[in-house]
Amino acid sequence: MERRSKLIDLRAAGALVDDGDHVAVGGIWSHNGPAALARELVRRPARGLTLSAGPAAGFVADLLIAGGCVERALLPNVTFEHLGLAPAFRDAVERGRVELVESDEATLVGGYRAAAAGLPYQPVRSIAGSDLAAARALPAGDGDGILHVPAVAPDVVLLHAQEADPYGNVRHLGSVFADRLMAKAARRAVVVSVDRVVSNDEIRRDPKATTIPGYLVTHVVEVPYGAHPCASHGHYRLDEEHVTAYASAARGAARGNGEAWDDYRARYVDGPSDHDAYLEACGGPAELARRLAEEAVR
Amino acid sequence: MSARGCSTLELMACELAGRLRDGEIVIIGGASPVPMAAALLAQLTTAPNLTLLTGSGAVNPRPSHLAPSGGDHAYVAGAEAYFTMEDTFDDTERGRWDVGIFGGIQVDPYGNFNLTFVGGELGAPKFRGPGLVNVGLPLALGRTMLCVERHDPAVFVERPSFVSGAGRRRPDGTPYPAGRLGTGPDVCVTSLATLDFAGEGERMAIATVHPGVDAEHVRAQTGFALGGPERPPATPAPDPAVLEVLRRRVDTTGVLRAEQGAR
Repeated sequence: MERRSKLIDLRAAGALVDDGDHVAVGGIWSHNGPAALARELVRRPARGLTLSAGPAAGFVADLLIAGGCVERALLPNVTFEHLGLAPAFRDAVERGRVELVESDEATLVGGYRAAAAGLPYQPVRSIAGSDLAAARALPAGDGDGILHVPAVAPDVVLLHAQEADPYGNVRHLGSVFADRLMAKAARRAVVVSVDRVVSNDEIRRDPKATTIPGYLVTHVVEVPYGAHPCASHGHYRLDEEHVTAYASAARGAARGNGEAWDDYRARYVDGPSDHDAYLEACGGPAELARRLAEEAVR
Repeated sequence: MSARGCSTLELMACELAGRLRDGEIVIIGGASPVPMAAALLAQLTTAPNLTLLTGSGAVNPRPSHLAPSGGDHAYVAGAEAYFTMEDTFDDTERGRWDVGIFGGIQVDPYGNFNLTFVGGELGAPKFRGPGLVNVGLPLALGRTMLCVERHDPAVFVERPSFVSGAGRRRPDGTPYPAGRLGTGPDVCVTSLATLDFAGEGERMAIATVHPGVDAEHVRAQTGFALGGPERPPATPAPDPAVLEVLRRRVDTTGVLRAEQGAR
């Protein structure tokens, strides 16, 4: 009997998410965001999702909200940083289109931790006395100022890393953020898109470089530039031009001018028949490499 | 620019850098080029044993330039180590880190800052901000510093819509829980002045006004009464040698040099 490959394609990966699922997306802000997987959910479109992140979010969370996939969100911080506010997130919360469960690092990372260990809650102290703790009405634990944050167990965790082998052994070439913890907190599936698949022999040559072991990962999708327009640390930078164009389209939609947003969707989400076609719509891999390749690590 | 020999953002970075102490652990989050520059500058000048943790998960990064995103790979390549969000969780709960630098869309006299929403209510805000990732930090850090690039009465308000990050006292002047590990902010550096909390009841006061700025202007641009001397001294212009380090080794592409409109 042969060892089972966990490699699937983007379409199949998107189909792993059921409407109404809790989906968590990895990376931080618009770095290592699983953007190709998110586009697949928007294209489908997935509906009624609960969305959380690791815990700071950017492009991917905003795109899922703009695409109408999200009903409820545990997102403490959604921002395009120097490129401005996250337009769809802002609009959805202001209009009450997404139910936002006020969250922060303690409630979310603490919640993932409890879920990772199969426990119902995580005791925390740091947020006692905050407006957040008051808004969430978190139950008090034993001892002074201890609060219990409930477990946060996403049905499906979507991550992007730079490399993995077919058995789900994942390598981040930079920082891991909350990705490994979120993988442990998942209920049903952990799907990792990677810019390239490497051989199991290559993984074995340097086990220290493996950031998430295969037993925590259920599926691997090979998607070159799979984080685009997010950065993929060690491979390519944030595509500020694309994110700025997206933000302008999403802001327009929020102000009642849906034309630019429809164009964006048609061009980058619904139009391209597959990921290769998406990359062509973005100028093609050679052009992306020219514009976004990181300088070699010094 | 001429009165100071540097831009406002450079002056702010130098003001913050001089207040980071050797041996401290500092956390700098996203979209914070001025605080990031301050920490990197402090490491290269007065605080070589300062440990810098960044939103990118990098410990002691050595970026080739001041990347505007705190998560940028510029901070990841060449760092000494990476930490994860689990480390952040543990270190926050334990109160391991000494200092963090924060900003706000609203800041009150006690240094409570709001990044969450303005107007309306939490479930139905008029304006939804980006939010604060780690609400526990301003309570658990030994101390914080505030860095606010926009100094006007819409930002500096008596009562914020929401407190994302804790100041020295609650907005009504009552204390935070006794179990709190840190003191809250000890300085607020803005585009117009450097403020401390030496006012009555730990309220914000003018410490110094930036060169070329009138104290009356600072008061007019603040939505509550500021304590401090009627004629506060001027913020010292950065030491030319320090400014040289900032420009040659930290902000190599001149992100901070691009002068903002005077406010």
